[in-house]
Amino acid sequence: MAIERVTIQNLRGIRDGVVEGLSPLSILVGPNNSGKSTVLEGLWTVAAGANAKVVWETLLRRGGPALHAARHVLHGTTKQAVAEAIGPDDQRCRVTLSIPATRNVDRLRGAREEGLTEPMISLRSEAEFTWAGQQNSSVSVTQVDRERRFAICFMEKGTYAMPFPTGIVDVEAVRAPGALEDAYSKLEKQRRVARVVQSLQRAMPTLTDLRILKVDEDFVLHAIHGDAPTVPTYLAGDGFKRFLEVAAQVYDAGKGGVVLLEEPESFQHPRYLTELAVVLRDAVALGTQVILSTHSMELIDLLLQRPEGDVGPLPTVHRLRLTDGVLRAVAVSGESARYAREELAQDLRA
Amino acid sequence: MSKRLVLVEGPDDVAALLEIGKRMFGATAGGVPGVPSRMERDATLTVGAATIAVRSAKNAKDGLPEAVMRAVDQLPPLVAGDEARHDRVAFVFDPDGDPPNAFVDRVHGALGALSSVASPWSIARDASGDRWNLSRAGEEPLALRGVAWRADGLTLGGLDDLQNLERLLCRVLGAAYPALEPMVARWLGEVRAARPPAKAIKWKAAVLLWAALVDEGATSDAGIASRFLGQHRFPGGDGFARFVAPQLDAAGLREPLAWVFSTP
Repeated sequence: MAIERVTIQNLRGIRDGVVEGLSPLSILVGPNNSGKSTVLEGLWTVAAGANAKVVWETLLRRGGPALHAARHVLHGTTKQAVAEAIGPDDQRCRVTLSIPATRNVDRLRGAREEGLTEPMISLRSEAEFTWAGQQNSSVSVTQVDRERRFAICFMEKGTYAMPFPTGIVDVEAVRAPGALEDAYSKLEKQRRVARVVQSLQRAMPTLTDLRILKVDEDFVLHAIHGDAPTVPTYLAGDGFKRFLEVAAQVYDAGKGGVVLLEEPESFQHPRYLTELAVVLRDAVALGTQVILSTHSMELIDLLLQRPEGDVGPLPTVHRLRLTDGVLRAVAVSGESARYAREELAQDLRA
Repeated sequence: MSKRLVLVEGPDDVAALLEIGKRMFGATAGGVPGVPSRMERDATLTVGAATIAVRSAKNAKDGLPEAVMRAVDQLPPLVAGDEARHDRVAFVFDPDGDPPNAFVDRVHGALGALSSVASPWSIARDASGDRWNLSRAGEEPLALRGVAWRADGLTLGGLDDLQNLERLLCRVLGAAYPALEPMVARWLGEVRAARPPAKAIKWKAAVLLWAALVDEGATSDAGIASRFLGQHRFPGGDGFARFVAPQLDAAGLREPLAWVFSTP
């Protein structure tokens, strides 16, 4: 049930682009501003389907004033963007985005007195898929985000659910209250807590377990270090938190699921990086598709290593170039990628 | 010759009446046809042989009942054949969330003071509740009528079920731009949901959203009634005929407004 190809039109810096030959473990590489994050964002919007709030958060995650950020979701002066994931037998999931209206209503004299203190933005997101015999479509436009100080209109028709489970992890470390506990719950559900603790022990040898404990009225994930006092994991380093999040998403997606990772090496100690490669290979062996972007030759090397006895497929490496809005991606299969290592290294070091 | 007086809550009502009077009843404003003032508190319209003075009350809606009473009391003697004689007085108001007739009852209560002035008025209230016949001894009678802005049936973004000019404007804009109405509704709904219950969002906010959406040149709420009851460039030609007049008809406002603006 893998995504084999992704096409993007008029999304951010990509006027037109396609990444083909995606495999169970696909690695996107390229210089900064070569479109890696946009390709992932395109896939994230596809994965979000009718959940326009997720679409919106995905698109505005790069920051900037809301109105500007909204307008720059679309390439140049174009009116709509399209992201499409294509699977075997021409199965398709497609999202079309447009911004029908952005208005600085708060700048109208009289608006503040009426409590209209945010710019108003509407995002129209049309999602449709034909996948594994299922067909569905929906139209949605998103909602208010007080924290970011904008209001977006949101209209939903019908329902949409991705035909496969999807996990998404971007470069942010997990900081939201409850996120670590949620990650732990996913690992527990998949019976992977012990496996992840084992990985975490590589950089934190005294760690013996992870456990959610009740603190006052809150449930908080704690790191257990034998008989020593427990430590809330929100106090842990960003590498620890991000490892937990990546592992949770990867294992939770399960067989037939797709996980999208943006630079999973960020914050990671080299020992965690080794464990991260193990976790990703584990997931692929279980039937999960992983598509990630990276600037880390170390991670690529780790992923290209075939453990003894492993006969599974090697990753594909996709070298991205963006010129005048046209994205070109060259796929290099695992064996060839090993031989092309020097070229890849140059790519990453340039 | 006929002289009339219309008391209103504020400048938006003045602007609305100027537009409606001009476009629906052939009135001229300020002696210059087609150029109604925008945010004036007072205005004068002419329709045929009728001169209609529109005046804002000092304290908006709260001040309107007393303004009506005082305006009536201060009318010069209503002498038959006198060209300066007033024959009609109207007051135009937003019922908002008041029970039916609540506001006209307040006006009626204020009118009670007219029976104890130096030249006392006799006051007869019509069964409809919003019309009166007033007279002073030896003078011609005076007709008084209340006109309520309303736009029944329109719901938008979960706003409170209030009747007012702003809701009527929203109704007009919804008719002119049906594809955009869900967007405004959703904006309102989301803003409302994110706001503490004590800070209810008003229909004025809805009009402002519409203004931001369809009138890119808008810089303030000033003149919104003027714009959306006629001056705005609506899609497809004569916006008043296509969108405003049908909504006034639907709200049952043509007949009371005709009473105000009709040629004698």
